[in-house]
Amino acid sequence: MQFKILVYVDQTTAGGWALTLAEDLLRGVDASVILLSVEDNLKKDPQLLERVAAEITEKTGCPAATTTRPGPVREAILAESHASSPAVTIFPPAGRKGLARVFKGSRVKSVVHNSPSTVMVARKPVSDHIGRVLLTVSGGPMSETTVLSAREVSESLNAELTVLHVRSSVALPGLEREASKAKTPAAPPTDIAELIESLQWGREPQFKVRDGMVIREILQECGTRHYDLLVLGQHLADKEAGGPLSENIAELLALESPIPVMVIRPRRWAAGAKIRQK
Amino acid sequence: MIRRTALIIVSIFTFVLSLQMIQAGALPTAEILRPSNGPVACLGLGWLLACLVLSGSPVAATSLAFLASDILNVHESFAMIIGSRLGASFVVLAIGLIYQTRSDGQGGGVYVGVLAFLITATVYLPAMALGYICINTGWLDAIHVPGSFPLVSVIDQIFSPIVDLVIAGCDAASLPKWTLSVAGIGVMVFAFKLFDLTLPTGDPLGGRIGQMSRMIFRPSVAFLVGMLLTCITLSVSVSLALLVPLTARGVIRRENLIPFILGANITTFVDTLIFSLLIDHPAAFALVLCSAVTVSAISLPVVFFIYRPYERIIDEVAGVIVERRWRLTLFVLALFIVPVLLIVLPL
Repeated sequence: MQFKILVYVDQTTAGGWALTLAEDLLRGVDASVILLSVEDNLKKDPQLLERVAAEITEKTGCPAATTTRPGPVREAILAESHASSPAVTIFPPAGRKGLARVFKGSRVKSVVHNSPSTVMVARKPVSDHIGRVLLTVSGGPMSETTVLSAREVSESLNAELTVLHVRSSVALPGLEREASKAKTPAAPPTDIAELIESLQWGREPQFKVRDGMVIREILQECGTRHYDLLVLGQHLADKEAGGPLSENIAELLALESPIPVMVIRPRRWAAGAKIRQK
Repeated sequence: MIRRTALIIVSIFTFVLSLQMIQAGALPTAEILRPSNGPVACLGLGWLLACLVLSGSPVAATSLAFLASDILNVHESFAMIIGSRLGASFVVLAIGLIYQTRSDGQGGGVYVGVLAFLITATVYLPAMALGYICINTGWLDAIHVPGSFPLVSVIDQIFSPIVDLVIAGCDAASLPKWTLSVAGIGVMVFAFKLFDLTLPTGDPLGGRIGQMSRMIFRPSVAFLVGMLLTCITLSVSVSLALLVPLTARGVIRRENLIPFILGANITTFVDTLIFSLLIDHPAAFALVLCSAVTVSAISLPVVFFIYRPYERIIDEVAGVIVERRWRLTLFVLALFIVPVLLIVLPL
């Protein structure tokens, strides 16, 4: 299976971040690139896609195809994502805040929610290259896929990986003694630790546990060290996971994270990818 | 089933008897409570009494009984109801403190207790201000429950002979009349305990509540669960306590807790609303309804519009309080000292 990366391209600063991150990913994997833009962008700059494709091929040696779709941007990204089945879709946020987000909706939320592929939200890169990856795992059904994907990302980029688990459970008054005996609130789920130990690592990951509210603790951790990429699993809104009644933490983090975010879909992002032999 | 029905009947009977006793001893009690006239003092009184009897509902019902006896006016009764809910949130903290002492300093329950108080205070105090606007603009006058008064006359016919007997007994023992009110509050607490025994112990949402230990629900969903569960159990502290057997290992995700308590704080008025129908005062029902509506008016925008910043602030403040033992001690002391100051100081 051909490993493909879909990148949305436009003339904005955030669009430049998406290209920078795509080039960084392509350092580590053999893949082809599909550059996507919408018709409105090409009216302003008809040579945009060809120019960017030439740049990418020159810098990374990877072949780059181009495609154009009518807007709006989020629909173009989703349509192309369904049509070409990329392993990763990289796109910049629209940059809407407050009321604009309320009335026009969020590109990040929409694409993260509906994309069939793993997505990467291109926030401003922290460093020249992705050197530190923060992986967050809950111990839920997506954890294994997410850990495996993060391992491939970090190893292909030769990046340092930190695995973070946030314990947000708190004992209710009246049953603390029983709660303290249970493994959930007192320690990270054993299966996460076991999974990490069972994998072969080129570079051993660091394991961290924080107590508190999940979103806040992850965002705080992002601020404590200069992480370049946040990797997390997409929320599975199946019955086991609470269905539509449950909160989609992945979407909220993709919206609020100050650093680039990769949201892993159940179909592994790097299926078919070959790590470049250095 | 028969046992539960019998318990419900006995608890209602005991509750109505307690209301009659409080009203019978109301006038002498008014002499004692004279220094605590005024809404601020009544806020403190409701708060302190709820802390002492470890429940808000009997105190809220007592405030309605005082309203019916003209000891408290509408403003004061409303303030006492709000105060009763502030004090009621202390129950969760008290249980948490007891278990912290027994379980080698595991602080989760204390965190939940502090959270319950902070949420109640941040919602109820603005709701109190909003309620006063409703009262002063005369909105309450538009609400009448004409059906309540025939019920009141039937209650009077049944309970007057019993209360007369109690008064006679009081006179025979040379006890002052105000002891009737105190005994009435005691009987009311007992009635609530009896009623608690009739409450459901299973998960009324078919296993959904059990997921609160694993899943992070949308705030609106946890909010509705809090409303629904408290509507069934008629008490915030009982609905929180009910979560213990229902959630796996007695733990809950922090994210679910705040909207749960916000929802529970609205429907906790259901019992007081029902009891207001037993009170012979035209404003009693409207007053409790006003409390529920104003609390909803504050809670709903919090859940649907400003939930994330609210959650962050409340969690941070609760975290700071439970982080150090001396801070927690100060916090618990303040829960008693502040209402006493509200009663004593001429505000």
